[in-house]
Amino acid sequence: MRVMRYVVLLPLFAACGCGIFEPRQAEYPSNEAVQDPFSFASILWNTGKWFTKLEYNDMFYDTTTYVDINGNEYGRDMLIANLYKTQSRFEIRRVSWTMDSLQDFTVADTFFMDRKYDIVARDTMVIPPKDYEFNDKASFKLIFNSTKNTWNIFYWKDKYPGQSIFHPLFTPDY
Amino acid sequence: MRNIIRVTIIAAITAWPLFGQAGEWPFLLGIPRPAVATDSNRTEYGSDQNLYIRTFKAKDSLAISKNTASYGFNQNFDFELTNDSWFDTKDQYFDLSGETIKKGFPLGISAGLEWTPVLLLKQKSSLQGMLGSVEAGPVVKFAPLGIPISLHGGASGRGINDSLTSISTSQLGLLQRDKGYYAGAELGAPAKPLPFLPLYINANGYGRSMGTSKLLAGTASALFYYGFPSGDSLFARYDDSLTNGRDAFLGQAQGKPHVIDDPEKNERSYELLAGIRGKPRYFFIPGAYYSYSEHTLSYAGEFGNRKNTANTVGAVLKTDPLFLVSYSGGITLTWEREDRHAFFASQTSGGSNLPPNLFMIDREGNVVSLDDNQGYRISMIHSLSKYFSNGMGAEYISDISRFSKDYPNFFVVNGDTVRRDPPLDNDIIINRQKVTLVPIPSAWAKMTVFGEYSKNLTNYIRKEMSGNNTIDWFYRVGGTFDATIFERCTLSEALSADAKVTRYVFPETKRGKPPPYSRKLSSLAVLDAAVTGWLNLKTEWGETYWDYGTWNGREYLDSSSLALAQQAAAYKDYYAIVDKTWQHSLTLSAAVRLFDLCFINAGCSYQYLDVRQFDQVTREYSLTNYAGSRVSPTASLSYQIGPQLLFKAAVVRTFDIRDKFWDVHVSLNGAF
Repeated sequence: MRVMRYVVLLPLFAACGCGIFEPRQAEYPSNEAVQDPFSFASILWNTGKWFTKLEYNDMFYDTTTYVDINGNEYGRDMLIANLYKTQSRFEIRRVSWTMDSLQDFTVADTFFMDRKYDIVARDTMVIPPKDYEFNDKASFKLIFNSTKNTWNIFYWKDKYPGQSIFHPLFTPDY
Repeated sequence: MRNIIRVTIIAAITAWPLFGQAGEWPFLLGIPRPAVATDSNRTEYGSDQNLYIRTFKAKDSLAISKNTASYGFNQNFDFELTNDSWFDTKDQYFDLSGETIKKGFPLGISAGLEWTPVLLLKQKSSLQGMLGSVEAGPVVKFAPLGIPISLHGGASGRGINDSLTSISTSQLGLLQRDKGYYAGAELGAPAKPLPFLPLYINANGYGRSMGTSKLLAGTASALFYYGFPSGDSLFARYDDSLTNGRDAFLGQAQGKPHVIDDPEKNERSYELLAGIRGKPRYFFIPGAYYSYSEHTLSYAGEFGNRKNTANTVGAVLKTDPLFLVSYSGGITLTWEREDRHAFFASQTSGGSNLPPNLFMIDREGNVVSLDDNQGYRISMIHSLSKYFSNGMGAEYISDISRFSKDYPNFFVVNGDTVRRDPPLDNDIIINRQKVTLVPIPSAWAKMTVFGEYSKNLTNYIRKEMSGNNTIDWFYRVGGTFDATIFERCTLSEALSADAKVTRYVFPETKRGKPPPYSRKLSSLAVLDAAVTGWLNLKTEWGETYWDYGTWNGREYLDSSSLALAQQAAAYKDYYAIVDKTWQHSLTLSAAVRLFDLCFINAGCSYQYLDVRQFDQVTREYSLTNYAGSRVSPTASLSYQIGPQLLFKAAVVRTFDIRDKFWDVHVSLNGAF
């Protein structure tokens, strides 16, 4: 069992000495650098909660449910597909998320919050370009994903009458 | 139905990583402790009613167990109700499963019958859906060589309907019906080793064949333990779970209750885990382990096939309690891979009609996808502490981790390389340091102070995403102070101050979009007075301030803003506060204890929230309409009605500037 001391000590020395905790060299950003067009980062401002990455696959829980005002439920894949589709088609000209209740609250590792949103988006696929405004509120439930050290949206109820820009079946007028 | 639920839950659990975090010995590599034996002749009753805002939940259960040397009998009555008036939904669940066994047949065999009738009702507005199932058949139990084995099987039936307007006997006759048979088996016990080997085995299988569907599900685990004469220990474990086939469940589609047919799928998870743990040497206890896990999910002709594999090696080290200082730490390294094969080539005529992000053939002829990814995780933690016998001491924790991910697949069109969009190849590196000191440890006054620092780097590799690369710094200092100020009166205070600072790695791509910055201060003082042996008074006073804004560094100014600055050369970086929030709270409560049987707690909390936002026109912080007060009177009662019957009730009424709502909880639990 003398081998036990080497089994433990060698990886520790290796971990400290070969730069495995150093980041790789990132490419210099292109002009088309992907941002956070819907400003999802700001829905958690001042809450003490966070998204580790602003990438939809990491932001939404595996079983995320989106519920529209009529109570229709949609899954995560449809929700994300629509976000990608709309952000490529629309120029998001204004986004604001503000608190819509006195206080957000946490129960166990679930975080409940309401947010008002005001979004102005320009459809660049039509001539002339057409502006849309979406102004209403939404309820969110988030849970902490300890594996990824991030909060995940796993429930989203939209109260926009009709189809908001977030609606998985959102179709712009032509 | 109950078997499916049980097996599915176990399968879900075993799909999670089974090893602990860095610095901890994997909890599954331990000798299982036998469950605490309970009286097998008892009746348990539980009722739990809960109303919160607009959701009412009720859970009632009754379990009757009778066991003698010659027979055994179990009958459960379970009822669950969730009524959500916000979404106008009502879900109900009934389970009347049970079992009766006659013991004492030759060779130690027991035999009997089991039954599992289950009914699910789901209602939304005037629309209803239901799913009822029943399984019933013989059960045989025996234990050759001390290994418990249980076999069961029988007839299975199911009735489904959705969007019913009402449930009545006449309409039940119109239900879609399905019938078939089922069989199941259980072998071994998770906390009982085999009589001739230091091996713990447990396997559970269930199969069902009905007119419209077939389902096979099962889990298995085996744990081997061997203690060397040197004092070191060897552990090896294997866990497996499988679900094959299809099932129906009650859900919602397009807002209406519907019986949803789960598509036919094959899902399997298994993991091999082995480790060796040393005996204390030179006051140190070492350990090392290795794990391989694989999870596959495939649908028959459907999109979404996936395979995840992971290899993990880890090493842990901790000191013997007799050592001068206490140390524990470790390192884990995981390399993992995810393959997303949307279709197999044979199912898609070679896949030529599919877009390249779903289907490609690599040089070795394998089906690959742009979403395939590989990554590695490494984490290392060290914890060092020293506390003297009087309680004075210090503790230091260093925790660093890295998670790197790559999407290696690409194709070339007209000379352009096409990768996953957006390309998420990245590194996330988190470095945390925390120091805790206990300078005043006495019984009448104790003080603890701490400081915490964390640096999080998000580093996207590809140019399309690297403009979002950030470094977040998080700082926290704080402390607690507890003192006995009079004979029966204690005062405690907890203070903390936080700051979070973000910097973009490429600020030139964020002109006009300065990074966020926030601060927070919080204080909580608690005065606790034991007035008499049965009356306790408590006062809690909390104050919290936090602000949020942006760090307007010069490097984030766009050219027009810089031009507008009166003295561009003299521009100084500053913290622009966008909003400020103060929260004041006060809670007064009294607790009464009567004859150690009844506990009553009553009080009231008041909270005022002052939220101000910066007004660009007036250049002042103006009160927003989110500001306001909240009052919440509360009362709770706990009463031990008898030696085996406990009643609890709690009620909170909240008056908000926008709303008022109830939070009511009543429960009664007993066992006879």
